Amino acid sequence: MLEIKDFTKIYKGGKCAVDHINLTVEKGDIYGFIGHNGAGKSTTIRSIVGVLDFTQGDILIDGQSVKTNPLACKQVTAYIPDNPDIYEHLTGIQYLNFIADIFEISTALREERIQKYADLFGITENLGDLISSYSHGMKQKLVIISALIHSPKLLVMDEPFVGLDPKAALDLKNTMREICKEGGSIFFSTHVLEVAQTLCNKIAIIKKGRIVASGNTQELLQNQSLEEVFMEVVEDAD
Amino acid sequence: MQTRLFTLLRTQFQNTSWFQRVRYEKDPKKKNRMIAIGLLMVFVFILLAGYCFAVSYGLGRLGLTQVIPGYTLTITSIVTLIFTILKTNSYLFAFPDYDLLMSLPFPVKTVISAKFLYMYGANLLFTFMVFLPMGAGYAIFARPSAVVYVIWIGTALVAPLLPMTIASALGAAIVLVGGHSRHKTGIQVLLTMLFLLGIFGASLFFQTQSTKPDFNMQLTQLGEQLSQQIHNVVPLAFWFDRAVTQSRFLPFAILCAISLIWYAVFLCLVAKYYRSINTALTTYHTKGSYHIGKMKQHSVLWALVKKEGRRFTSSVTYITNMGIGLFLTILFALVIAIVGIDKLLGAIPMSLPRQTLLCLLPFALAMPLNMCCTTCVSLSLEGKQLWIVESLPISKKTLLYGKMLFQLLLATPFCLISTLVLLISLKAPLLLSLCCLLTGCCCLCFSTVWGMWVNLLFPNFTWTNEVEVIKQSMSAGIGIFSNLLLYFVLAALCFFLGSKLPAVVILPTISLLLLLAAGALLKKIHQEDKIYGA
Repeated sequence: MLEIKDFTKIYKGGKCAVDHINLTVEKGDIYGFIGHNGAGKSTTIRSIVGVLDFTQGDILIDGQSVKTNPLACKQVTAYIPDNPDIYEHLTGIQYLNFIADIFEISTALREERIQKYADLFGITENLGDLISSYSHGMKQKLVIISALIHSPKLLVMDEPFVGLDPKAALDLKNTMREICKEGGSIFFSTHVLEVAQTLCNKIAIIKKGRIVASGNTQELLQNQSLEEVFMEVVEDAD
Repeated sequence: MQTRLFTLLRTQFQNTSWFQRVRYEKDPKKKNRMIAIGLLMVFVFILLAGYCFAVSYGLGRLGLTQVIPGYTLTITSIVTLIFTILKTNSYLFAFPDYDLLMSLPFPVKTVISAKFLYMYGANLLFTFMVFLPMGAGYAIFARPSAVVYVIWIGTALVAPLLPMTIASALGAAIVLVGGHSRHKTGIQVLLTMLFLLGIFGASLFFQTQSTKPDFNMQLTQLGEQLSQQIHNVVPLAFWFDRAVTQSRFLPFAILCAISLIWYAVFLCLVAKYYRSINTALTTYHTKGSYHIGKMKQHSVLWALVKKEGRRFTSSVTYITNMGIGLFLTILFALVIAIVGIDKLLGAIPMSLPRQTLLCLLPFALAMPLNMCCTTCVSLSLEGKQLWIVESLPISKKTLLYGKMLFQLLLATPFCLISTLVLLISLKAPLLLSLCCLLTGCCCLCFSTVWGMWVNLLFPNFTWTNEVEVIKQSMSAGIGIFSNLLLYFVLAALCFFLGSKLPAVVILPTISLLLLLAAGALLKKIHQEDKIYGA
């Protein structure tokens, strides 16, 4: 579903943020991407979703290149950024309707999905209010709903659990599992190692722009906790 | 308090300083672009200074030297007044770092002073751009004593205070009245527009109250009459005139005292209500009782147009700055229709054939109509939310078409109504009327595409306050000046060709050229691979 081939991103000024990384996310995978602050997680994620261009390599989504066919890739992808900066002058429902219009979702389907996810995350009653009146967590929930209403084949998330209350975090985890059961794929970054350990079937650890460990979660952990493995791998890489 | 105020003020200037950005920008392309912007700004300042000097020198040559001081103060006062009222809502109140500043150990008066003095700094630059060259013109003819130079510079320093405090106080009152309402944006826009209408109305009133200048009267009498008019509009000009023409410190001291006392009163009053004003502005009416009902599906393009519309109507700054041109166009048409073109043209000492007049009409309307074009800023206004459109499956073309279509939908009714009002009042023949309407629409199309192109060339997505984009950005500045210049040049062309060719030939030809230019620009926009420049 997502194939990252020899991906390199060098920022203007010469800083190499990501250095020749390779990753493959299969259908049904929940792929965790972990690393220190500034390791290159957000750069990779922003390049996958077409927000950032990159220096070398290629990223394929559902067999299409992000470089040569970005619209086809974006049509099957949803992105949840680390900071929910969304149009504050719209009401929640207006924002969801806008996203639904862009993905050309029929009225019946959008009504059904908005109702389902807004009820699940407990913000239905607030959808008529301006987004500027929302708390950080509510904005995050709205971004999550907007990402889910077009049933993406690939869900890409940057720190999705930040700002969510415990119930919403649990609901998101369940939704992620549901998406993968239905054949979708998820690639997300997180600093919460317990979440990655229990939720992901595959994990990659990135340090200073390089993948220092990756693979099936069970094989990677081998009776250790992810925290222990992470510290070991990161120290070994120094 | 003084140290804290200085620290806060310095940080604000650092945060928005051009020098700071150029100094720390690592990308050579961006750095060069910023240097080019800086040079262009210097060029604009030189033009402005040159124009002011020419006006001052011209008045001196006409023997109207005594009018120059009052005239100088009037120009700066009116411009400062209008600019400040359009900025108050987002600079003085409900600014993005309000929570941060109010949580720090600053007295409220320090925060207000810092914000006010920041605006004062920007206005002071403009004031000096006017005061220095006009002062030079005055010095050439009046040959004043050294005291006058001190008074002149001193007045330049206090000149922005009074109009700024009046505008800020009115801005605060508007915010206070509208801020508690659910429809606060609408109320604030309405009150701001009424205030601006009041300024235009008052200046018209004073002009009609005074006797019409008689060019045969003695120049000294004419000078006195003009000075009297200026004193009616800007009362402080009376003290400035006295101080400069009589080389006396007392009127200057009175002028400074009035400005400073009024500033102190303003500071105390606003400090008292500051929290409540900001609370009203930053709290929202929430219903929390929404039920999902029947929804409508729109095309991608229409969804983008609707998004632009909501962005436009959500901001007082956006509506008042970009809507002012549309508002002026209608006002201009109505004034001509009511007062009558013959009466207005009577003030111009030359005869203008009706045919030529009608030929000039679309460009006269195009100047105010297109000077504030939303496409000049709408891309930059995506700001931190740029990730949304970047990650959505929409092409660059569709996104920009949405922005351009919104501008056309917004401005076309104003263009058609104002042109029709004028055509009816001028009893224009049918064919020529159609030509005028066509040309008006072509001007609109060109300016819309041109604005988009300018914004693509000079985007700014890193703003913290939308005023930086709407009022102070390079793209907004170029949009205003280039549109005014273009339609002025086209009007001048029509004026000279009017006697040689019929208007029904000139107008369609210019329309065609404008459409071809718009088409070429559109093609160039499509060819750009990377539109965002971020």
